Amino acid sequence: MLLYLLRRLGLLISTLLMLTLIAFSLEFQLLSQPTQSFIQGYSQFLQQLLAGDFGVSSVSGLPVLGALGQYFPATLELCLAAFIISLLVGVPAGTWAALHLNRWPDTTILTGTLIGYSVPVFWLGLLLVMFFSLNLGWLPVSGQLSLLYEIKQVTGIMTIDTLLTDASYRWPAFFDALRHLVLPALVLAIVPTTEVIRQIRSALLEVLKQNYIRAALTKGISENYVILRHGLRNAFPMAIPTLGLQFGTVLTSAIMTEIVFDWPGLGRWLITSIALQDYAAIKAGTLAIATFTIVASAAVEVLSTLIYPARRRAIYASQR
Amino acid sequence: MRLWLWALLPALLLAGCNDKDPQLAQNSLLYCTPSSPSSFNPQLVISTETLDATAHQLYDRLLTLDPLSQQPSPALATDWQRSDDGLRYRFSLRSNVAFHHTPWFSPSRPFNAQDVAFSFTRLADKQHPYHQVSGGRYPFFSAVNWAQLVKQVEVINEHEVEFVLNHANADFLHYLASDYAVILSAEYGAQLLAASTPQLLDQQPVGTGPFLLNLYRPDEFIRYHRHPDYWQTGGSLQHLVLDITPKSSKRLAKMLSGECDAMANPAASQLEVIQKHPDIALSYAAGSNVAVLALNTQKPPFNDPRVRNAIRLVLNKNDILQAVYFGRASLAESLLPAPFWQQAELAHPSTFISSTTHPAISPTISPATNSPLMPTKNAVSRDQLAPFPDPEQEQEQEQQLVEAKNLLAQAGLSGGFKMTLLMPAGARAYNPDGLKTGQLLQQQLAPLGIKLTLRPLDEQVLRNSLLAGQQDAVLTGWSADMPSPDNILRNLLSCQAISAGTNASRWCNPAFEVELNLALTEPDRLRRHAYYQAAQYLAQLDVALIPLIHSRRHLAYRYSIAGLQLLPYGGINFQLAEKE
Repeated sequence: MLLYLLRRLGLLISTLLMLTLIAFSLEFQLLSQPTQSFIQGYSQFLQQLLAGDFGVSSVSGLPVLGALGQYFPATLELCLAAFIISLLVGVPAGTWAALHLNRWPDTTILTGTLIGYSVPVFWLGLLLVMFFSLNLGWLPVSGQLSLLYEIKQVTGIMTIDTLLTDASYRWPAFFDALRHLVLPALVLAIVPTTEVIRQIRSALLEVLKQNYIRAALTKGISENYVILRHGLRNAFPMAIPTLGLQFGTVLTSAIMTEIVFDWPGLGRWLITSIALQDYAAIKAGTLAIATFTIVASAAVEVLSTLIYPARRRAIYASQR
Repeated sequence: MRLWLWALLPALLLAGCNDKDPQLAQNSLLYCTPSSPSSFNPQLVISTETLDATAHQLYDRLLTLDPLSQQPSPALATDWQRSDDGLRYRFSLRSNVAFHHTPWFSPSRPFNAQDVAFSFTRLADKQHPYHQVSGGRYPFFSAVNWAQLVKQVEVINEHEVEFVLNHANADFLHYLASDYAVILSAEYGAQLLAASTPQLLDQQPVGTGPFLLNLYRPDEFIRYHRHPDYWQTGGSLQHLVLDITPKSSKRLAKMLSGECDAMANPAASQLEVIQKHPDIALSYAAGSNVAVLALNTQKPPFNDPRVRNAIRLVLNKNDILQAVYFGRASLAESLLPAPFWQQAELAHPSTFISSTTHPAISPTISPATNSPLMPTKNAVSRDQLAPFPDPEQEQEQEQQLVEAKNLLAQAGLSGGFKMTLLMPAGARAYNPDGLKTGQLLQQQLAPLGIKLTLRPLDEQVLRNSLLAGQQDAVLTGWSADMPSPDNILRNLLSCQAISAGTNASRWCNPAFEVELNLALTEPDRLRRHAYYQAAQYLAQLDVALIPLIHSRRHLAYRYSIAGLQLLPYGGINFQLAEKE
C-alpha cells in the first residue's frame, strides 16, 4: 500500500519536473542569456520556484505569486461549482437513461449529451447572457460580485468571503455572489455533465447485468432500493477515474468561460498577460494551471483506489 | 420527473433575490469605463479615459472653467491679479482646504502656497527631485511650452502665490484651468521622498478633490470614497466605483442589466438602442475635436495645392457622417469646432466671417455644453439620419467633380495616381472607425483615377511613421484640451508640430505662425479671434488640411442620476452627482 503511494508520488513529481523543464526551455528560447548554461539556468529556476519566487510582473511591478493567490481561488470556485452541478444533474440523468435503455428517455438524454458536448462555450455563454441577463434581467452579465459591495479577500472564494464579512450587507452580498456564479458555472458544467451522464450510464448498465443484482431483484427487494444501494454504489468506482481526467477539459473551458463572463480568475489573467506580453505572469499562470490539472487527476485516482476496495487490485497488480 | 422540479426551485429563488442593499445602492454610483488609467496623476497623461478617472474626482485646480462662458473662474484660487505687462499673475488661495486622509498619508496641514509651487515646479525644473519620476514626460505642458513660458512660481506667503512668465500669453489662465494642472500635496511629496518611494506620488494619489482612492485593481475596478472634508458642497454619493470594461458591447450589456449606472463612449451603432430604452438617458458634449484628412504637403504629388484641392472637392463628408458616425456628429467646415465659433460670435457677431465654402454653418448649441447635463433624448431626428437624395446637391457634386478633374489635368495628373492612406487601427474620440472612413474615401476618389491603399496602424506604429514623415496621407485629428483655438491650430499645423508628429500634413507657413503668436499675446478677445480667422484663412487657402467631422462625446446614464457633468474639454465630473 505504502509502496503504491510512493510510486504514485514519484510519478507525480517527475511529471511536474517535466512541466517545469518545458516551461523553462520555452523561456530559455525566448530570452536566452549567454552568461548562463541551460543546466545552471534551470537549477536556478527550480530553486526560485521552490522558494515561491515566481518573478515580478512586468506590467504591475508586483510579485506574480500575489496575483496567483488572488486569481486561483476564483477559478477554483468556478470549477467546484461546475463539478457540483455536473454531479447533481449528471448522476440522476445517467441513471435514468440506463434504466430506460433504448427507450425515449435514453435516446433523448444521449442526444442531449451529444449536443451539449459539441456546443461552443463562447456561443452558449453569450446566448445565456442574452436570455437571462438582458431579456429577463434575472442574473448579472459578468463579474464575481457587484462592485457595490466591499468584501475583503480572505479565501478568494467569493461565496465564502461574503459570509465572513461583518458588514451589514452580508446576506445581500452572499446572494449577489451566488447570482454571479450561476451562469458561468452552468456553462462550465455542460461538458463535464455530458461526461458524467455517459460514464454513469455505461457503468450502471454494466453493473445491472451482474448476477447479484438479478438475485436481489428476484428476492423481491424494491427496484429503487436495489438500484441505489447496489447498482449506483458499484457503478461509481468504475466511473470516477475517467471523470478525474475531466479536470483538464474543465480547466480549458474555464479559461473561455472566464473571458465570456469577465470572471476574475486564472484563465482571464493568463489571456490578459499574453496580450500585455507579461512573460513572468504567462509562465506562472501556465505552470499553475498545468500543476492543478496533474495534481487533481492524480489525487482522484489515488483516492478512488483507497476508498473502493474493488479497485485495490490495481495496487497488488502493480507490485508484481 | 419531480426531481427536476426540485432542481429548478433554487434557481427561481436565486432569481427572485434580486434586491441589492437599497441604502448602499442609493449611495453608490457605478461608472463603466473602457480602460485602466495610465497613471493617477493627470500631469503625466493625455488620454481622455485617464482624465475621466482621475482629474475631477481626486483633484482640484487653481481655476476652473465656468460651465456657461467657458472662461476661467475661481477654484482653489479665490482671486487673481495680472500685471499690466501680462508677465505676472498673483493668486490668492482658498484657506481650509483639506487634503485626503488615506492609509498612506495623514495630512498635518491644509492646502497652501507650498503645494502650488510643488505641483508646478516639478513640470519644468529639471533639478526638481520629482521631475524625472514616472518618466519625466508632461505631454500637455510640453505642448504649450510651459518650460519656456513660466520663469518661476514664487511663494509670497501662505495664501498667495505668484507665477512669473517670460512672455505674455493670453491662454495662460486656460492652462491653469485645464484638467492637467492639478494641485498635489507638497507634504506628501516630502514624505515619499524621505521614504525613497517618490514614484508612489503618481500611483497612490493624494489630492483635495471630492473623492479619495480606496482601492484600485488594475483592469478590474477603481473604488473611490467621498472625501469627508471636501471644501465644496457635493452630491450625496458616498461611493464611486469605476468598472473597467474594455468592450463597448459589454458596457452596454451592463448598462441594460443595471450593473452600470453610467457609461462612457457608447459606440455610434449602440446609440439607437440606448435612446429606445425607457430608463436610460443619453447626452453629449458637442465636439471639441476635429477629424481631418492630412495630405503630406512635402511629398509629390501632394505638394501641389491643386492636387490637394481636387481631393478636397470630391470628398463627400456627408457620406462619412452617415456611415461612420451614424449621423451623430457634425460636418467640419473648418478646423475649429462649434464651441469655438460660438465664442467668437458672442464676442462680436459682425467679426464672424465664414472662412469656408459653405456660408450656412450655424453651430447648434447643445444643452450638454452647459452643465449639469440635460437629457437630450430626441436630439437627433430621423430625417437627419436618412437624408433623401437632393437633386441640387447631386448637381453640385457633379460640378465639383468636373472642377477637380480640371485641377488634376492642370497638375498633369489627369490619368490619376496611386497613394497609401494611413489611419489608426482602433477608435479615436474624433473618429470611431478609421478603416471604414478610408474605404469611403477609396470609393469617393475613384472617379479621379486615384487608387487608395489603406493601412490601419496601431497607435505607436502610426506615431512613429508620422515622425518619420514619409506618408502620403493619413486620417487623423485632434481633441482640444481647452477652449482655445490655439490648442487645435498649433498642434495640427505649426512648424514645430512637424517634429512632434502631430502636424501630419507637414505644412509650415511662417505667416500662419505669426498670426497664432500675435493672437496668443493679444489680451483683447475680439482682436484675438480676428487673428485666428486670418490664420485659418491662410491654411484654407493652401488646403493645408481637409477637415472632415466634429465628433461628439456621448454619455449614457440612468434617469435616476442627476448632476453628472460631461466636460467638453477633458474628463467627466461626479462631484455633484446623486441618485434620486
